Amino acid sequence: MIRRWLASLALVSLLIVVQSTWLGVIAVYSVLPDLSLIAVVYIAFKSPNLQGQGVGFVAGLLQDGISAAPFGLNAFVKTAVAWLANLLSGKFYIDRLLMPALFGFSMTLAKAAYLAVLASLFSGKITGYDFLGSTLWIEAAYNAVVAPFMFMLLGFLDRFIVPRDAR
Amino acid sequence: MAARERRAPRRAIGSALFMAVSLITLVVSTRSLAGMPERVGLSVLSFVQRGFDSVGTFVSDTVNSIAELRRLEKNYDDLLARLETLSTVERSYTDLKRENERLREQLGFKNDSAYVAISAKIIARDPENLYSTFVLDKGSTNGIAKNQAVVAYQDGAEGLVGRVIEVGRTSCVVSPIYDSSAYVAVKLERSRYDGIAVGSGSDEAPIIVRYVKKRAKDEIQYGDLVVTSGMQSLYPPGIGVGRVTMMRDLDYLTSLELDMEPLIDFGRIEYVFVVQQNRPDSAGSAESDR
Repeated sequence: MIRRWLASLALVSLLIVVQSTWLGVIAVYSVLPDLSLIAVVYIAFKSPNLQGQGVGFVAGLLQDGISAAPFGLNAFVKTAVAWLANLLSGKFYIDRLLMPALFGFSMTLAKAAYLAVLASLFSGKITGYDFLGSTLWIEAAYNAVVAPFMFMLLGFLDRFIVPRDAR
Repeated sequence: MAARERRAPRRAIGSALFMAVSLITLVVSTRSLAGMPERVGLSVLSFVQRGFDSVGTFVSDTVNSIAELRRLEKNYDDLLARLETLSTVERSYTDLKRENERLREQLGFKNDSAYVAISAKIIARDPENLYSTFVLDKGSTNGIAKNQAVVAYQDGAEGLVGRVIEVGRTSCVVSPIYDSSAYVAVKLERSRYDGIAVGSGSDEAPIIVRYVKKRAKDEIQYGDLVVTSGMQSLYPPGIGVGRVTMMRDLDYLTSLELDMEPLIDFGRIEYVFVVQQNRPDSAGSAESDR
């Protein structure tokens, strides 16, 4: 189990690094897809235990270290989004295209909703998305487009990151 | 399925625990009591980011070099032709250079650079779309400290980039001037009116200059250069920040609002300079030299 958790954490951390370095070349209006969030959602959905939340929490802390976000913000958001995905675990059949896209889109909106709540609680300290601005909707659409590819690629790694009984 | 249902309360408690720890961390960090964990995280991840940046640079350099070779071949032919022309210009240039040196000496011009700076490379950008910081490959071991100003040179002009907000051992995080949390005390170089430049959160949106006196309305022109005023200790005076692109005189405001386009194109900066300290002989005279 520990090996599976560590492999998932390494994978999500790697995606955070890729997001902050190479992904700039495919930015749309300076907006990047949130690969690490999609991976956390995948892990949380596939694993019936706390793996998604745990990985989201630790990877979020790491992300906070290289981001201007207050320490703990990404940890909370990733854990909370993973919890949502985990609630849906086993309740849907994941096809190749539609469901991953729907997950990518809806989990981005969930992230924005969590941030909006936190921004109102910690006013002035936390930046939330502007629901009428373009950034959120471009990111949600981008995540919806990228999610099917990510789910497909992560599917190849199932034996390293997903418990055997959940595959 | 039954086992899954049995484990549901445990999962809920575990999730709540993780979220509670995140929230506690958030509460502590927003009150600026936690700096250490961020620095550790920055040091660890920036090490990996440096590797990724190197690989990315290598791949893009290799791809670019093929096109570059073709261009170089053409340039070589062009340069041969130009060399012939330039050799005739060289003689008059030497005369002009001598004359320029004489004139500079008479005018008492000092060294252009008003401060000591450390060059650094941008190795990563903020992974979150809501924030616009970037990571440099120099840290406390190179003498970088929090709140130092960062400048860059583009198309022969110096421009303000931002300030250092977090320092690790071998890397640091820079918040750019267009970040929504950035405030820079500025001055219009021609008319000398003061203002505060506030970032709008995106490198594509203009920076807003606020608190410019209404009586400056007739003296401000499109394209006026905006420089740091030095009214706060973070940024040395006289560094170019941007150019005025629009002016608003709103009835309900007691001051003018200007839109400013940064001098630096943030989409294509790779190298920057972290300002260490003012040169002792130029601290007070940078403004008067202009």
